[in-house]
Amino acid sequence: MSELAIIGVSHHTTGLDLRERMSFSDTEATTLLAQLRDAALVEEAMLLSTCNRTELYVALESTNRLNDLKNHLSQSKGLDVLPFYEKDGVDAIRHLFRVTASLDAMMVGESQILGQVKTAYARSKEMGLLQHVLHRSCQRAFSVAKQVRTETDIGRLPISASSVAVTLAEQIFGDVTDCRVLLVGTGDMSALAAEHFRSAGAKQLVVVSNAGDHAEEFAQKFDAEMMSREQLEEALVGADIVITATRSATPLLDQLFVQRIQKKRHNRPLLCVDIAVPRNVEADVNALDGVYLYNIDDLKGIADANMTARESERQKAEDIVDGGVQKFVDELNGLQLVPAIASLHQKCEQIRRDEVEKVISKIQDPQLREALESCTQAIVAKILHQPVVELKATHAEDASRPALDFFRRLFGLEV
Amino acid sequence: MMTHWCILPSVLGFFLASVLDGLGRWEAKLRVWGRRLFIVGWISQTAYLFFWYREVGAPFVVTQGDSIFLISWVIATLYLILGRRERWQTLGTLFSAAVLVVMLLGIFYRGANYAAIYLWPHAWVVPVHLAAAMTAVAVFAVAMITGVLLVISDRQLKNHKPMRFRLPSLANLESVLSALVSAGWVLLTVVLATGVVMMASHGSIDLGGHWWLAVTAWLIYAVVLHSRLWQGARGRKGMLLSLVGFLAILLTFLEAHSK
Repeated sequence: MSELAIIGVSHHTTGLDLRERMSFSDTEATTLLAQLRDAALVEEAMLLSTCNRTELYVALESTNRLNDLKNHLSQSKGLDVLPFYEKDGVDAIRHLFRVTASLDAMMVGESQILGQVKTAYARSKEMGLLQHVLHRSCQRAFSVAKQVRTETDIGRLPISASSVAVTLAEQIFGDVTDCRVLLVGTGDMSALAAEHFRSAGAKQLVVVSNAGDHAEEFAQKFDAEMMSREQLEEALVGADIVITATRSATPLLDQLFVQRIQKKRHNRPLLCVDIAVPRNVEADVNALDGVYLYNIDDLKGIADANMTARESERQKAEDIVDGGVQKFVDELNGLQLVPAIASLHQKCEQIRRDEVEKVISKIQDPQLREALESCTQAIVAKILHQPVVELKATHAEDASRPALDFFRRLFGLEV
Repeated sequence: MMTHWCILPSVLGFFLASVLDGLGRWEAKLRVWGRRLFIVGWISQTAYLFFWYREVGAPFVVTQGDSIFLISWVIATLYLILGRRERWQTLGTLFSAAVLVVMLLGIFYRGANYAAIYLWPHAWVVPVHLAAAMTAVAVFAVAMITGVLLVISDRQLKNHKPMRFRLPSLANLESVLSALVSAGWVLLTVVLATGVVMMASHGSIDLGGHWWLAVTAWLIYAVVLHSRLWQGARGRKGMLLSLVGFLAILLTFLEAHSK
């Protein structure tokens, strides 16, 4: 019976240089999988290639073929070395489950990996490279990953400054979809914040800048409304979230100015995220009712605390994965018994039928015939019940071959 | 007899809901069961009120205990509506425990009968007055809890505390608070109007202490509503006013029951 096996490189084992070289685009991954299939090296295969890992998942009868696969993978990227780790059997299943649940990630709990595994799975499925081993393993890995997401806080707490800002906005406004996000400045930090708010669903972005063409380019890139620095007051009145990231040496917003704005805004809540150094917003603005000011250190403080909290959730997530692996392995072991048990039932049924047919022609009464059928069926079922139960129990304790082999010899089974 | 059979599942439902909701912080599935048990508690509580109404007829709020029981039912109903939102479900322990405590108080402290029922046994105005008064107290109680949550959330955000305990968003708390204060104020207006009708039909206008307290509460909430809706007064100032208003409501309730 085929077992899951993995070869790969990841941030745990190699540096960025080698990972970059081992990275596969979608087209390259499809080509490689097609080559492996055409060379009859694999029947089931899935290639996962992300920033932090490149891993080939295969189903093999024995691990002897792993070296051929390593050579093929290295040669496809023009490498002379074989920097891969390998895992098989239960270790491989656990690894797949941990990767999918984002426990093996550089940023533990990041959510992208699940989507990346699903994409790799879909590609293999489309190419006909998924049969029962990889298909079952992946499906179960997705379900365990979902369980980890819902039952732990591992992916819920943001760990980057921009995603903390989005979470803060959600804590204040519930949903950022209808919030008006004002970006003061058009640097890299503003771009990062704009990306995060856009992907969180914010529809209205406004850019305030006097940077001319660059500002217009920025506004166009994020489909944002453009306003000049002179229109800042007007822009603030309509905004719910303000992100300031300019190189201004003096603060753009002070307490009196924001107080005046708040009156015009009827004291609606205002989230100010000041990611500029030196700061663009004076610290005492936070004292105003309904105004929530966060600077870069505040965001970093929250991100660090969340990172610590994620680590404390890690053990809980590992326990869920261990439970999932154990259950899955037990199920796979149980599947090994299915052919032998089915064969035994078939053999006994054949014997029963042969013996019944010898006498059934001498019985005229249809009711008696039916009774004979039921009676012999019940006898067979009762005789087989105990050996099958014992086999399952022994196999559950030790999934190695002896119990199954003895069972086969005992009943003269060929399967 | 049926009424007594409804009490036990109700008490058990709310008790287990508060425990499971508390444990739900660590195990999400428990919170789902907590909510289911809360619904069981609420259904039993509703059945109790139904059978009690069939037993004694209108107005079924005869004693102080009945009114407290009705208040617990309104609080449970309001939480059932609010708890449909995921973030409100994290407050299950708080609401289940509050409902349970108020309900048990209603069961074990029966108190005196309302004098008004004997003065006007057949008047339509009495059940309306009592039902509106009890509902108003419950609505303002939930408004108070919402206001406290609003202040906690506001402090959490102002002090840049990490967001481990996910409260409903500020905007949601604000809108729920506004809706509750508006509804409570309308109910309080009905209570005052029916109170005037009752006194007028009795032939004498007796402006007792609870009447003045009720008018004070009505005025305070009118100011709160006005400043929230037209002047955008939010946060601590609005909350302080709401707190004073709720104190006046509580005093009115106690004063009315001391008669």
